[in-house]
Amino acid sequence: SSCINAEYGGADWKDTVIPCTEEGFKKWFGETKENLGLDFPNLPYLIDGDVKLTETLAILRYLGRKFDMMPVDAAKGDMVEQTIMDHRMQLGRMSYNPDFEKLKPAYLEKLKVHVERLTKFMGDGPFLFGDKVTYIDIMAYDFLQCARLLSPESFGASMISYLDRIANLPKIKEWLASEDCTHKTYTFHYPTKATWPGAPAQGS
Amino acid sequence: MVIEVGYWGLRGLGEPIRLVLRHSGADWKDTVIPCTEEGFKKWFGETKENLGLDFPNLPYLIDGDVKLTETLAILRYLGRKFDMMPVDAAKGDMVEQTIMDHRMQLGRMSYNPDFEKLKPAYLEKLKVHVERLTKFMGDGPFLFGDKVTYIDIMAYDFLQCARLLSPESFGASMISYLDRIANLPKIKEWLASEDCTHKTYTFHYPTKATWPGAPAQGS
Repeated sequence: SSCINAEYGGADWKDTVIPCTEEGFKKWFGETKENLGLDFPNLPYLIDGDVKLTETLAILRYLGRKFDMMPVDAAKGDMVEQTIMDHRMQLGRMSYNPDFEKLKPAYLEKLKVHVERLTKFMGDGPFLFGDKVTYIDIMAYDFLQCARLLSPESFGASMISYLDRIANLPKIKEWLASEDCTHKTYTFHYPTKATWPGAPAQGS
Repeated sequence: MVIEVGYWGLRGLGEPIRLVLRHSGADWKDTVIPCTEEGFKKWFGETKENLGLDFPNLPYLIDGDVKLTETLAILRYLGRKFDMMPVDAAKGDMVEQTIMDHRMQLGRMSYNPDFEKLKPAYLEKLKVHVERLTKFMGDGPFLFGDKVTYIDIMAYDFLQCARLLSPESFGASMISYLDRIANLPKIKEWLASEDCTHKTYTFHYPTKATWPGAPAQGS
């Protein structure tokens, strides 16, 4: 979702892709990770001149400030950001768990409640915090698309409209329609390690 | 206006919030949800959905019209309110996130029946994280220099949990840092108080965690 954030912001950016292959894995951990000058080496990372960051939310918030994509009500913004991240991390951990199928029903119960609460919070929208698109909308889009792939039935008309509104933001729409759009090929999770990798639906 | 914080009667995710409020000197109310069957039933059966929270959960904070959940949302709110935000927001967010990430890993492990099997790998990661935090802090005296931030208070409580688990993972430099937090005047006063909950509170839910993180005897 950091990529989408940058796309939306119209910035000039470089997508350094670490291949999900044995070679890519070895090169990252054996060589690159400790040699980029990062205080807390990890993926994702962002380098913007002198700024070198890791931690997904630190990066998203940095870009949010840079591209005027911060919510006006900081406290509510933080709260919604955290609930989305919390649910996304639960989904991620479950996806890598050998007991994925056993864990799924309880997770879907929680997901249903969370989608209801987000829908209610948003009210008329059109975005989570009204008219202004925030980094949290972009984050919500990608995370909820993962949940939607897992459980389309958990998503009602209102939430689907919201996700479509994000997908139709001009630069995002343009990118999603592009020939090399990675959403046609990228899984949500590491393909050889996850019990449920979240591969893109066929033909989409 | 009294700020109300609701959380279980344990340290867990809520304690950094309580410590920030003590440090601030603000007037606040510590609404403790007892870790008993009765407390559990009352929270889930009655209170949780009736406080007007958008995303009901523990911890919660009510400050006049402001009603919040999510530990970090609450800590950042108090950080802004009490001038405890780091000057470099991006670095602040990054350090906040690494601390929270490690704390959550420790928490999940503590509730896992396989706690003992998971502990060695966790301790390896902890060692690296403590080294990185120590290096990041440099001369300090706090994580971001002279200014005490909500992230220092968060680090204190979360690292005290890790320290209880593995005292050997903490070198002199990090222990000095934790002592500096403990010696902040209002925190020091509270830690020395007769009813200081750090003498009795576990870090995790006592009847549900494999490793509840009970306070060391005699401390």
